[in-house]
Amino acid sequence: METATRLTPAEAGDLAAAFGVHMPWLRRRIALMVGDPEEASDLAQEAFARAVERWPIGSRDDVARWLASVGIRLAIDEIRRRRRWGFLQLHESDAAWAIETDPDLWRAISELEPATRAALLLTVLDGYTQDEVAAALGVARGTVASWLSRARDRLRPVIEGTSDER
Amino acid sequence: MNDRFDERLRRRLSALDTAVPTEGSELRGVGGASARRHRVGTSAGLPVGLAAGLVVLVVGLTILGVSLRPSQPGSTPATTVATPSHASGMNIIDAQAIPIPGSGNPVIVVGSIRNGTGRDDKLIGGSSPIAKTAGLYATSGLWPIPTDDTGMANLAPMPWWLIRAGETIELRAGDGEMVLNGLARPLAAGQSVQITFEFAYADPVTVRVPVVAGVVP
Repeated sequence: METATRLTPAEAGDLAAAFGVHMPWLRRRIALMVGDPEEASDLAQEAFARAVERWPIGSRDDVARWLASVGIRLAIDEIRRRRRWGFLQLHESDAAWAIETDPDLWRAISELEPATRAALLLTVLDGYTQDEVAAALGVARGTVASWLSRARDRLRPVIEGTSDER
Repeated sequence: MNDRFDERLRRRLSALDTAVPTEGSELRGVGGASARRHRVGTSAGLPVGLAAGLVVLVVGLTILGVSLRPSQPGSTPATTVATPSHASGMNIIDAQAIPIPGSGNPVIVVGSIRNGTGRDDKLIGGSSPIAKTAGLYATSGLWPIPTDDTGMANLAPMPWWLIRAGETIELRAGDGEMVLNGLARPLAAGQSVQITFEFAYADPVTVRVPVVAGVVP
């Protein structure tokens, strides 16, 4: 199964550095998707393992986008799998950190469709454009726009119905 | 109006983002196994350890050659059988220690770990009385292993290797492996070394592992 693919010393160094740079962020972002930080760690590591296969990926921004795309897709798959198999539903205690921080917002974003939640997080928290989210999730830009519009409608009562001072 | 809404949303999402527990507090927190629930879910796709192993195989990340791969069950020479341990439900199988060139006399630890505990767990590290450090790494696949200015190998540190309940992972040279470092003197084939494998939930497992010679391709 060996291939001719080999990394130069510089590329190998970049790979090790990228792990340290991107893993914390990727894990946090996936945790906001799946709730369970431990599951987020597993998925983030799996995303990184896939990055190893593809290395070198490109510039630092390219690596971040690539990891976001793979990591978020893994998270979406995991959420859908849990829904398909109801007995694998997330335990509330797994997301205690979120419930303690902002129960209303956590509940609201948890009820969003996984892809919609991903689009919301990537655009609002990470500054991704709708085009970038569309590319990351493999959908049309219009679909992303529709998701975000729906997400804002769903979250509006939570955001506008409580104090801004959080 | 949307701008103000977005700003409020961003601030509250940011608060959630920063509230995600850090990895250390999550895995190595007080209470040990009893403080954690039994995770019933499985991550998408292959178990991480296996996936990483396959990934590395596909890329051709073999640094020591086939002859260094851990023996298949039953094929380990009788004189070099690692002490098996079943005390915690984690079985260390055919473990071997392979000295490699480098500052600190590093040693790669290979072998298999079978999770018989009935719950998902993670290999999170290890220790040895003769080593200053022990870490889990995914290697770059280069040989010789590239080193930085200080002579340290450029390896990607891995926080753990996931071991699903009832499954076996392999630590292989060139895949995911444990590396002991900071040895006072190099190990030689024929010796043995005591190594403790540490898990997120299961009790640590200490075994005596034979040292075998590596073959550089």
